[in-house]
Amino acid sequence: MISFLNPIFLAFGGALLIPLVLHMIQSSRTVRLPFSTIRFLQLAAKRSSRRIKMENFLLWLLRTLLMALLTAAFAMPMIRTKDFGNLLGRAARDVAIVIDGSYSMDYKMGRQGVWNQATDLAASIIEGLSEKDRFCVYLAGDQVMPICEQLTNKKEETATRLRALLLPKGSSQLCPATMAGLGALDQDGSRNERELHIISDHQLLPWAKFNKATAAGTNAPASQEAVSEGGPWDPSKVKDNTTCFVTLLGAPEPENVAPIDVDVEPKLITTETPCQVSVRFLRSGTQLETTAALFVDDKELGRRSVTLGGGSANEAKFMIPPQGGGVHTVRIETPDDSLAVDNSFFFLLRVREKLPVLCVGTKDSTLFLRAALGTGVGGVSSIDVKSITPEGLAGEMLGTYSCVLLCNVMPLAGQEIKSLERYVATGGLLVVFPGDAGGMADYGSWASLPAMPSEVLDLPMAERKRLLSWEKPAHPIVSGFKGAGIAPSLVIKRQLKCEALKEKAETLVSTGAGYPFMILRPSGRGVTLLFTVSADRSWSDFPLSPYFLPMAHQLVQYSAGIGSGTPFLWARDSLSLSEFLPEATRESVLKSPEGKSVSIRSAVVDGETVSFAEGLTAPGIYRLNQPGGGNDKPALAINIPRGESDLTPVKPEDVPAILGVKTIQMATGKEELMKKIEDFRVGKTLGEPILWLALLVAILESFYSNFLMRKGSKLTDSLAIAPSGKVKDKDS
Amino acid sequence: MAKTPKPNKNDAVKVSKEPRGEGIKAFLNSEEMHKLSRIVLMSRYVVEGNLSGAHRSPLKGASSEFADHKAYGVGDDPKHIDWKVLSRTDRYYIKRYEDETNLRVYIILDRSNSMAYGSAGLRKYDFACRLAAALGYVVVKARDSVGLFVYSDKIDMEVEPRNSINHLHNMLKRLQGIEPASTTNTAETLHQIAASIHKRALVVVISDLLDNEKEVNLALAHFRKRLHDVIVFHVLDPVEVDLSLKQGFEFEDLETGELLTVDPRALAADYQKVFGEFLKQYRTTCEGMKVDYRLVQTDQSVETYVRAYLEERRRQPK
Repeated sequence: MISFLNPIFLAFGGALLIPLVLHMIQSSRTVRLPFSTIRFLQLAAKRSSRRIKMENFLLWLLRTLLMALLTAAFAMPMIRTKDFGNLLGRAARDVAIVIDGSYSMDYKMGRQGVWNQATDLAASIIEGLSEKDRFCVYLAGDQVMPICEQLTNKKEETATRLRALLLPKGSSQLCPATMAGLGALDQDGSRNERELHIISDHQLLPWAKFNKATAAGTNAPASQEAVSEGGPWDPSKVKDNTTCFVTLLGAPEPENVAPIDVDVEPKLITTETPCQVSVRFLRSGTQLETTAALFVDDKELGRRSVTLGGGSANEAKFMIPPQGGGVHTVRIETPDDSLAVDNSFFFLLRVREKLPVLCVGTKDSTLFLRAALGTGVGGVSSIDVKSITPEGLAGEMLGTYSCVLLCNVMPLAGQEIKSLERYVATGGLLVVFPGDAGGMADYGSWASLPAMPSEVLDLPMAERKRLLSWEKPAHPIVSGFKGAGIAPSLVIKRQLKCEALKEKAETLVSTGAGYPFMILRPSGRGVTLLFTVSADRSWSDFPLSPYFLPMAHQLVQYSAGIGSGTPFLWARDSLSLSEFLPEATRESVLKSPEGKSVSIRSAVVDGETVSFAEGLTAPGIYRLNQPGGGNDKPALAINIPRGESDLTPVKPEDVPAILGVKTIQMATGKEELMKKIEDFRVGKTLGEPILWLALLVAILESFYSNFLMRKGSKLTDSLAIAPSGKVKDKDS
Repeated sequence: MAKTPKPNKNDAVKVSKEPRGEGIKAFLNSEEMHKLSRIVLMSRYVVEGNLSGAHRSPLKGASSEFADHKAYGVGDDPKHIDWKVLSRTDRYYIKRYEDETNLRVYIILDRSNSMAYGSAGLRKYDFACRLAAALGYVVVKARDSVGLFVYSDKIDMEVEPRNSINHLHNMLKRLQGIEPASTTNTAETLHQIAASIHKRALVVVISDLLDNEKEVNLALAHFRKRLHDVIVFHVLDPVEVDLSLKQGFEFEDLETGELLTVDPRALAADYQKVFGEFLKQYRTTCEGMKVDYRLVQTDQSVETYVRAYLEERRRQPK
């Protein structure tokens, strides 16, 4: 097989015509010369016409050959057949190996997994290199992980390291890793022979980024997704002297079942309420009937038969009966398959015995709220209300409450406002009732408020009776009131005037045009709710109205929903505990599913100390041990991102088009690849030998043309004419 | 496509030299004349002159050169009786001596168009004229007579031999006005000239001999048959001999106007072979006829050549 490393020079093949054209031009530009011995010239021409034609033909042949050799030398042909290649030997080469490090590589086929095959293949490629060859190895995990970043020739050490390499079990950044490999090859451009090896499974997913960049064209700006550590995919980076070997290991039509998401209803689960878990599955392969089991605290609570793939719903529902209060670990499990890593899905079920609510304000201010929240079925309320004065706010752990109600607490200290804002950002519901204490300026430093009140309106008697208008009737807080048959009217004496709402803020209830009554604004993971009337009777008869009590209950239930936290998190390297696990302190110990302690570090962000947990990559339940708190409590449910569970296969014949590279060798197994490598690596670029040959031909041409010009001695010399004119013929 | 000829100092061109004076001074300068005045052109054979001179005559005369004995007879001068022979044999013999006469030299000059060729700025014709002038000067200085035939396809000019320097001067003056022209007919013309010279003389042919060599050889044989001493100066340009041209040309025959486009570099070897055969034919035939054949190339000095030639000729056994 002959290939050209610089095929662009083949375009200079037209140079082959140069000798002929020059000959034609020279022939057409003759000068007339009067001469005396034409008849001898005619005789000589008759004698030597055949010889001259032959000489001219040979000269033309040599010159055309010279041009052809020069063109071929610059095009750098490569003979890769064994027959010639073994004679020519091998050229030193640089090799970049990129291994797909996604968890889909954990796919098992019989005894050996695809990952083991991949690392063994990479090690074999390295072991097959000669002493002069150099290589680099990159692992495409969640990030590009260089195994050998720079080109090296430490074969044994790297092969051993590769065989012992563990699968990172993340997603695959194959495109950036490939770009990084090409970058490493470009660092030393002295070698003409380059190989790029991409080792992956038959999964389509890692090729998607290549495909996007290739489809967009090399000159188009790279898509945001494609831009990563190694840069967007650019096929032009694969130079002509670089040959790509793509090996797709594992099953060509892989099959997999994986639970990929859960949804728990209702959001607020108490010890008395059952809940429903909807599990979504991902199926790769043909339609399959399988079972899925649900475990709560490692006890199987249910098993469902599900039909997956082939256009079915890919969803199963489980009912969980009322559970005891606390945090329960739940696991969805599918039967063992070839890709075991994604068979389990973990989440936490937070069952509340009582909903902790903090009421902040004077006794009078909070009187109606406390009464409303303390009312329950049979005189027993599921809401645990704690009432404190504004002065006691600084010492409270706000993160332990699902809802904080502020009643006429202005003004607040800056530190307290910050603490409240952080509470909202981490998923709390903050409800603010105004009052006579404090002025408008006290609201100014509160960034998370839905609106900035401008003044307190004292409404005239004639305007005091107001009809409430449900501006967002679908919102969970007010959804139950629409059409309840209760006349939504209030007598309002005083009211905050809020003219301009802040970004994302919305009025849920208003008391007429331009008079908001209840304004909501999401902030971080939580919500801030502002009433424009006070929680006592001094501003309105709202606390006495029939919907005060249900609305207070709705608020608390809503807070439980938004503050209950995500039932699970995706695996990640770093997690802000301040955001997702506010109860964790510096002294707390977070343990991984294997029981290992997860390192917690602190960092100062915007003047505040924030805790981070690192290395939350293993899927499972992470438990928190509070200092002096006894047993570990489930704190986080971590699942690996399910993108890699989609094993939709890529066709090997599509890969060259996806990469947009001409010189590409596909293989689907070690033996096939090694044979292709063996066939490919024989031979070397013929550029240099051809250049030498061209030089030889040039010398030959020069000698031959000079020989033709000077051949034979002069007749004058052979005649040996004496000064007297006497001829002594040497020949005779 | 042929183009009009461009002058090239390395290639052949027609060049006519500006005359340096009239007559002999147009061809020889004083230094050359001085050097040539000391040498003599001798005939290898007996010649028939009309004056007593330094050359052997077919007649027995009064020279100091012994010829043979003859029986004394009535009318013989008694002073020639060989007394030594009489004392030995008692018979009267008289000693006979070689007669010595002056030399008549006929210079036959080719002025055909082919003589107009010349590379390096000198035409063969110019060279031939200078050679004729030098020889004429040598002849006249030795008190011998020199005559001239100028021919192309016919005899264009004829000058009877005389031995005065004035004669030479006038002869060369006439030659000055003649330029190469016409085609050549050397053989026929030489026959005519041979027929017109009755007394044995020294005939000097100066030509490029670019004619049918067999016929020219026959013409030279005609001279020899009439017992003339013949010298052939075969005047050639070095380019004609070696075809040492460095580029392709469209060659135009000077006499026929025939055109031929060839690359002389590729043709040189075969040309030299063909031309060598041509020269050899003249050389061997002349040798057989005892004609003194000399190949003269125009890239040498006329005066040096003439001196070298005459010196060699002087040393040759008669």
